[in-house]
Amino acid sequence: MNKRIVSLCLFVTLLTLVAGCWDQVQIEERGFVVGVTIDVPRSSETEKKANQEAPDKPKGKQRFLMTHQIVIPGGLISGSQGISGGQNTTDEAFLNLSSEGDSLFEVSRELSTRISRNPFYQHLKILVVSEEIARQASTFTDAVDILLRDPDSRRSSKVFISKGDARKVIEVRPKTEKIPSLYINSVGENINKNSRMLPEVTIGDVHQYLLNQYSFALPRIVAEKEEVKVAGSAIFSTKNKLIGFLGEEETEGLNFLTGHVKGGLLKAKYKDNLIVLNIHGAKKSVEADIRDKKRIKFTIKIQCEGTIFESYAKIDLLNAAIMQQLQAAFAKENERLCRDTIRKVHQDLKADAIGLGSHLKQNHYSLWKQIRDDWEQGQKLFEKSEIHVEANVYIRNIGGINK
Amino acid sequence: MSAQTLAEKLISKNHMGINIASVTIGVGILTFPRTLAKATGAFDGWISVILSGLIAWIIGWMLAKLAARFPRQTFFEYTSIIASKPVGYVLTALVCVYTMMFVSFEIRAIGNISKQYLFYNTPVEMITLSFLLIVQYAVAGSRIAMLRLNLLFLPVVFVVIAIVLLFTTQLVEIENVRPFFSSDWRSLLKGTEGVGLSYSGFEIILFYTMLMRNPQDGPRAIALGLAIPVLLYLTIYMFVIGVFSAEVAKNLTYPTIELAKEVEIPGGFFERVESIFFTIWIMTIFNTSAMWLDITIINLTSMFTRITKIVWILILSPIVYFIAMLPQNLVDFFSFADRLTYSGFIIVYLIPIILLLMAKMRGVKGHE
Repeated sequence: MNKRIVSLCLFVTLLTLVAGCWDQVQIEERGFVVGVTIDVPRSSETEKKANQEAPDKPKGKQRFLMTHQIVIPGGLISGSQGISGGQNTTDEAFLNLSSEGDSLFEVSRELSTRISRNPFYQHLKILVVSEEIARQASTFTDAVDILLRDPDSRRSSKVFISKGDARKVIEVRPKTEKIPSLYINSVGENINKNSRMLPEVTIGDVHQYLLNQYSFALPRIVAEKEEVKVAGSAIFSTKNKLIGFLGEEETEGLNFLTGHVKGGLLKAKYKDNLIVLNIHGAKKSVEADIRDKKRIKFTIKIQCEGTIFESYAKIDLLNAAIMQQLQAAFAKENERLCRDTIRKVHQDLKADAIGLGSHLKQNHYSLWKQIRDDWEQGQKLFEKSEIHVEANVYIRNIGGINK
Repeated sequence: MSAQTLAEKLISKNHMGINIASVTIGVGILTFPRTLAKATGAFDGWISVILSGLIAWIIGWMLAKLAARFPRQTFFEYTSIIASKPVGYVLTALVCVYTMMFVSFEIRAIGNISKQYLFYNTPVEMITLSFLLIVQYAVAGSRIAMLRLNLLFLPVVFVVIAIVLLFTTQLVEIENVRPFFSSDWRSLLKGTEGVGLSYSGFEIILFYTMLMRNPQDGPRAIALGLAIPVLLYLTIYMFVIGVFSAEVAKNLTYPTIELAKEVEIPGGFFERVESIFFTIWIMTIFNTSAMWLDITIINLTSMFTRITKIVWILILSPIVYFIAMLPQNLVDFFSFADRLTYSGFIIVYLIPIILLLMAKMRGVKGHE
């Protein structure tokens, strides 16, 4: 009898242990952040105000203006005629919230004073950092720190560098999608159609770039009123600082040189008429002549294949000799494209965005161990190296018509 | 012919191997890629994985030989036979402290990592306590039944890890993996030491051999029990480096969790694969800590035959919980783990090997 009472008491007390959940968050209470942008604050007014309030507080080198894009689920229902009721008051499916502060975490928590739904980063799709932030030493690293450190965020969010204000990028009103961030996310995946954008770079990749000692490239994004343009690339030096942009064609060349071309096009002239090739894919291989350490010679061989998609020259494409000439013409154009890029990154920017240092590390490790610190810095062996390009284009098909 | 119930059935060679694999796979699986990448700085860490696996196997083989000399006898009994009763008491007590601290370590790891990734608001104390209660429950019942849970859980663990790895294959980049064979032997040895810590656990052969149907199979059970974690660690390390590169792996607190987080099943329907990964990882930790607690109790009851199992559980649990709460932060916690494993080198590797040599020299043997 006694035992029964004791076990009953135990049973009741133990029940309390299984009943609670400290961490329950209703899905309605979550503010799903899909896009984050980081800018330099426009004016120093708030900064002054903050300084007046607490002059002795710890300050960072750079204040950040951070904009969150939060999804309003009610707005996603298309043609909602008052069904969603209290869910939202506008037709919009997103809400942009800007705030500034010394640390990004501070800004993120500051949002809690302004919205009912707390920011939740697990579905973060894009991070856009403005050119101004990226141009300063170490601020870019500071800006991505929190998203890498936070166990809640994912390493697969895409990163873009915006020319101009980053905030403008997620403020665009695309006609095709309801949420700008998701729209940008999709645009960023179109590398198989156009090689003038860089393949998607995730925040995990950025982490890797920052830890490695090479220069690197991130995709550039430009905002218009109703759309964005993801083309071109931003080149970062070994100091993790933005040093310049590559234009669209230069980025195309960069993609060829790094072997990231999945699609796109090549134009060539045949007897004054334009012929366009639809690229199916390209491969690259690098050969390094390392006999002279001070002057390493690289030969980048590019193999590209595709189909003729447009031909203004009325020629017989089934003729083998003409085909040969065309392939040579395309190869020449391909080489020109790459040479333009090399000129820019090798001679102007002096940044090894092509990944030649990485090639040396992978294939000539004993040499790399000696020159590791003299590659882009120190003796600057990268600048002293020679880079050659040899391209081969194979036309596999000619499309539906001949002439 | 006696009719045995399931609970009384002795364990087979393969079952013992699975037990060893289950106890070995624990917290180390989350952190070892970091240690290894830090030491070797390259893909070559796989050599260290194999090397330390071999060393573990040699030690394990000797431990199994020792235990097999004394079939159906507990650790306390055979150490007493080999090296007098007082020594037996001291050694067994030391082992008890070691295995009990291991339980503390495992449950604290659950607390720490669940807090970081799953429960942001739940206090670590509460997570740890509820886990300890479950472990208690597992240990309180039949010993063989508890061990049989390993057979049930390990395949699930493998299937989930295989799925995670399958979906990360698309993220593997060959440039992260190269260059091959770039590390010197010194860094490889350092890596070996680092991974070696994640192999600790196979010493359970010292205590569980008495439950084996055929104790002479111990050495073969060790081989199976270590081959599983070696293969698992090898694949995980290769994938971690292939996906993240050594530079990044060095910089991640729990590289294996990050690997699971990287997984994105196409279609966007199922984004958070790491939640399943956590489930199976908690299952392995559950097995590990249940076995450690069980071994502590085996040893205690062998020394003090009068006190029953359930009483020992009730006495031990508060102590285990208290020790688990001692580390103040992650740094403390990791150094606690390291010190624990290093002390294990002496208590459960070195001393038993010396005992084996003594037993050989004096020709002491148990009887069936």
